[in-house]
Amino acid sequence: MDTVIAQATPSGESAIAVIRVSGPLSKQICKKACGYKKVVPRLAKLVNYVSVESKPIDEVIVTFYGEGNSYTGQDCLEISCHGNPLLSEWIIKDLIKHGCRLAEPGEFTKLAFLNGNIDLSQAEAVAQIISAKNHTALEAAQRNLKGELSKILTNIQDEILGLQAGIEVYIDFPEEDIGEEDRDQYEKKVDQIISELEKILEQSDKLNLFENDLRVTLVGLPNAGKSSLFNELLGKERALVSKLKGTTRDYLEMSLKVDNNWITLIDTAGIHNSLDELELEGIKRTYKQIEKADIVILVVDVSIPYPIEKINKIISMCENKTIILVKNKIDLEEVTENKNFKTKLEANVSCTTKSGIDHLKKLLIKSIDNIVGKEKEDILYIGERHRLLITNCLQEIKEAKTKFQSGMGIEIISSDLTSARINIDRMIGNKTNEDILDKLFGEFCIGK
Amino acid sequence: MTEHLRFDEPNKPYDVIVCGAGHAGCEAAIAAAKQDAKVLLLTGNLDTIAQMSCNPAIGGQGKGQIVREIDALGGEMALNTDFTAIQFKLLNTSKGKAVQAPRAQCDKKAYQLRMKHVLELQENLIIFQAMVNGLIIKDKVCHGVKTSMGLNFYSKTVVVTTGTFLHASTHIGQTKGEGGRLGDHVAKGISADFIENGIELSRFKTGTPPRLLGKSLNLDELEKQSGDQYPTKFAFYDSRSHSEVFHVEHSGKWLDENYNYLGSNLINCFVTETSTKTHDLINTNLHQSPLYRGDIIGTGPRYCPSIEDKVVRFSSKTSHKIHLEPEGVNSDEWYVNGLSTSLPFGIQQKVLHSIKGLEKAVMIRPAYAVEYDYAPPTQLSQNLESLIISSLFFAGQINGTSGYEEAGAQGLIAGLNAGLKALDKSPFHVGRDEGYIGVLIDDLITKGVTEPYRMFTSRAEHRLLFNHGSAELRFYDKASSYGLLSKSRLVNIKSNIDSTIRWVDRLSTLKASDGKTFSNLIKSKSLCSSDLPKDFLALPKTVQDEVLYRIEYDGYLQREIKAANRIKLSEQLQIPTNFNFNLPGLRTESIENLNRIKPSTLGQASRISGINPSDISILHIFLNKNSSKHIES
Repeated sequence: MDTVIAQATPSGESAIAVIRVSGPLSKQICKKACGYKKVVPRLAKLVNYVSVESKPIDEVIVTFYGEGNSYTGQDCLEISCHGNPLLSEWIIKDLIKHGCRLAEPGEFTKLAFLNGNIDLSQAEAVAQIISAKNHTALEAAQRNLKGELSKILTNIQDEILGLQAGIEVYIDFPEEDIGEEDRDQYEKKVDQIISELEKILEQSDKLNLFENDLRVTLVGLPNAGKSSLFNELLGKERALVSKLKGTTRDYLEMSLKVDNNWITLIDTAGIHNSLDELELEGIKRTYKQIEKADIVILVVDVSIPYPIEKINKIISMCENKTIILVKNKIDLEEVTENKNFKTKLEANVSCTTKSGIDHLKKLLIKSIDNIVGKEKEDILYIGERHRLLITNCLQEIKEAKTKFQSGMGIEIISSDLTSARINIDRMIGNKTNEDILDKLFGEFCIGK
Repeated sequence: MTEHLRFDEPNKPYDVIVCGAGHAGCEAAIAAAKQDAKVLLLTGNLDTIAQMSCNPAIGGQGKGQIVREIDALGGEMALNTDFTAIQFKLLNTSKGKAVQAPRAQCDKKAYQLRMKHVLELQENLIIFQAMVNGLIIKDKVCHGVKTSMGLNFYSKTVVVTTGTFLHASTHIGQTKGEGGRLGDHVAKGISADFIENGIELSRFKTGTPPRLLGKSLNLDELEKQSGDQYPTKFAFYDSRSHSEVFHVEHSGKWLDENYNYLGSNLINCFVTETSTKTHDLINTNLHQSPLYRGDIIGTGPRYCPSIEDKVVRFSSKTSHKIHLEPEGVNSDEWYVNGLSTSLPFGIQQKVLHSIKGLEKAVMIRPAYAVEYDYAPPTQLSQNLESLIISSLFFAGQINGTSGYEEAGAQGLIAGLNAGLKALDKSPFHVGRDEGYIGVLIDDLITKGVTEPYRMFTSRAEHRLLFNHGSAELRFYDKASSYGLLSKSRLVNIKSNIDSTIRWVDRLSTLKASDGKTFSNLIKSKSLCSSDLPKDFLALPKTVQDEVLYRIEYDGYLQREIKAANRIKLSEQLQIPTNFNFNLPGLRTESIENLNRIKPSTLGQASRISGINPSDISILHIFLNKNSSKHIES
């Protein structure tokens, strides 16, 4: 029997979001993801939800309901997490990795009914609920699928059907005058479909900000005030600050919402020629962080002379990345011989007087928008269910490709193609074997 | 003892009356009679029993498998083909066994005569030449038929197999005639009875090419097509006893002393092609084709287009293949496969003469199109019984299908169910997870038809499970519980199933001389069949083939079985007859569709076009509610 999951609260930001799980895997999830040693029914517990990859996702409140005593009549779980849609989506994704499947609209109510938890006289009401939920879900799906994605998927569905028609014609019309089978052509078409499916997943990944959000990294020489700026941008004292060089030994990262986007803000160890082994390791990690960064905030101390070479070296490491130069400590007296660098974005800041901080934030928002905006045009929004279906489709198509290459019979490959297509059908509507025949008769002259 | 014909006796002396003795009617009559129902088979002309009105062949892709399934369910078509065939060919031999299918060219006259002989000798069956021109229907129940002689015949159930004869008209150019086949009659009166009783009718079109005199053809320079050296037959012989193989053959003089008169490769076919001249002729005379003039309103089959359709729709092709096939060994009549047309006679002759080898061809029958009524099959239940008039069954072209094999299969199912109903027994169903016949019936009653329906292997979701060689094994349970086959044959099939399972297992552990298991060698196709164990080679051929097939396709079969089981699960959720689909929560469109199709299982409901998963959820809930109530009371 399947274990089904769904978010019970409306999607969007809210104080909390509730995710419902129903089915035989519920207990196992309590133990594996929520750290239960013993599962006690009807007891709300505050736990850390830990992903399959052992990453803590969120502090959640979990309540288990045993078979026969739950809404659906099966083992059930209610997980309340913080109301950030990215968090709930992450947890849902993780539950799917545990073997759950997303519920069909109204499925919880249906299960409740079929398990005898809802009175027979309520059957009509249940039907109404399913109908209504399905309607809303459909509308939501249509909203999501409006525009590009739906066009792309329809196109892929059509290409798979076309490929099938091209194969089926050789199976069902063996004596027709339609030329030889062209397996190279099949393979080309399969490759095309593979690359289109991969492109969807790739483009949708860009939007997947929570797991892969923009990385804004603070770098500079020791004691330039990176950690002060880190705390300032964060709005809280998170990093340890002192006047001593090398206070920050290891990098530190925090999630932060800037305008409408979530970013990861990273404070790093200052770069200099140190002999301290621990500090050297910290600097090595800084270089790695620069590599991973999308935006680099280069912090310099205007109150001392710039070591030009060292700073230029950092700038050269940031090729193709956005650099914001922050001239820090402007409350102190500026050294006059310091020359300008060739960076486009600059802010004069004092963490002490807070002057220039707003300007820096504006620059940051602009830079983030630039990056996200550039990609927004070809970003596709796909929900978790769609991502799963597209991934399955891709797997089956790749399977078909392997079989083409190993010279396997087309009747077997055709069965893979059908399995692949069903995934697309489930997003944009069913196609049947009848549609293959339509394509076949449209393309080939059949009829002895 | 055989009884006299009993007419004008309203006490229903017959269990089943079958109207029409084409491919559907013959199978229907035999199937019902074998169930011990008393059957009357009426045909307008005894000399056209089991006539092949179009091409002189049985089988082909999808169709060949159906004929083998008919044999597995006790039908006659397979044996009749095997014993009157004059060329055998297994199609798709270059592809996997899953999609191979047998086909045979038949001696048309021999085919008819043998089937007539089978009917004449069948217990519980009376055949009679009479034109049915009306149905006796009272309170939405069919009680019998009226004939043009004025005689009425009464029965518990009636099977209608009118073929292309219902309200039929023929077209040659602008010449329009009456009749379902050139030179034959038309079935009148029945259409009116249907409409009067609320059965909807619609119109289809089909066509047939000209027939030529063999001696006028120049075959010397044409490509010759011979039969296979080792014929693949349609019927299963490993399970039959000798007396079951040659039933009519014992009574007549069908075979010479070596049993090899017909049923072997006796003829060759030939291939030629149309020329640019052919295409010019057609293009300049399109205005004379009733298809293009709009005289024909019925929809024709896309897989069997007229030559004018091919020339117009695929104008970039400069030639189309034409196959020349003899219609028998005791005749010089030849069939011109690929040249179906409704152009006027004069143009037909010119077209023929523009084709290589046919320059001096003498036409002995012209090509023509025929338009006829069919009753959209969504008005039928899984038993092929009308949802509107009780005890009235439909089979064959009246259901919007085309093809002898499709007709035969429906005849078998309709006849069987008409017999079972008359005898108060539970109906016989074949699911779409069980075989091509199941796919055929389910497609017809659930999806309906938009053109004359023909089977293609691609219509089956789980085609890998439907290899032609496994038909007998697949249908064993059904055949056994309904007593469709003789006891001795059933025993043999059971033993074949057991040895198949045993040998699949054995070959997976048994090692060949090089240390690898036989299964692995079979999968990697690096084994000569003679290298297989001697005990294995001593098994019946059906078993050997099936064992090899199951090993070769192992993983793929597992996947298909899994998927097929999913269908089976929702097929098990029955919807009671007369269930009211007017349920709260369902969309109006869904309610209309469900009430029209009246699905008998939740699975069938899910395949109706326009029905979405939430509709099925709702239906599921109410079915549950109903069954719970049932248990309570």
